[in-house]
Amino acid sequence: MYLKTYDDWEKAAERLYLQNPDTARYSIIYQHNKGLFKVKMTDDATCVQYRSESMQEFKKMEKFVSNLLRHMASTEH
Amino acid sequence: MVYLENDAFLNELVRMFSKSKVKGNGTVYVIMKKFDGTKRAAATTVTKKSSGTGKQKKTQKVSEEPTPAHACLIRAKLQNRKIATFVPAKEVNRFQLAYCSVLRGNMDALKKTKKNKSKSVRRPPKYLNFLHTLCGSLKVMFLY
Repeated sequence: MYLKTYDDWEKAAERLYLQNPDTARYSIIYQHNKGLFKVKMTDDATCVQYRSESMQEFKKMEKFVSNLLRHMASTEH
Repeated sequence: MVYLENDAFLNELVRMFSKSKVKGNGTVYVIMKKFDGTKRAAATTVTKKSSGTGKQKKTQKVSEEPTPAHACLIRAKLQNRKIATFVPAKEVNRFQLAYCSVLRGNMDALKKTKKNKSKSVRRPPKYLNFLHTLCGSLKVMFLY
């Protein structure tokens, strides 16, 4: 399911991860020739995706990724 | 799947990005998930089986060292080449900086147009506003 704005996606992805932190996975897909990136968060039941071409949104996404990385590697849930 | 150390993984990721640019039709997949030590054994046996069948001959670097109980598993894929790494909680700060800079540095086909557009949209109204106020003040001057 593609979401229309980045903020919607971020909220949905965060909720999905917090609901099911053990099975949720997050992926970035980058296509150089099309100049776009897609981000996806799924727990095998629901899947939220977002597609964008802008560098600004990528920078926003970077913050989300670093938070997520911290969460995933931390010892407590 | 080749399991690499964090730094080696990042180097390999950079190489993947540059390869995807050269061929022009490459798509790079980067996947992140939470990892708790329980599933580690299953993961290694799978890689051994696949190397046994001979489909993947690039399993030389399989790391046998024990991984911490909690870590973040990161995989990357370009065409048939697959790599993976574990980021333990200790390494997060260092890895995160390096990882973000790798992503930002290599996703250089993205557009930066939004800023320019917003600037060009904003400028005319300011200019017009200024003219309006000028006209207004001139009118007032003439009236008096």
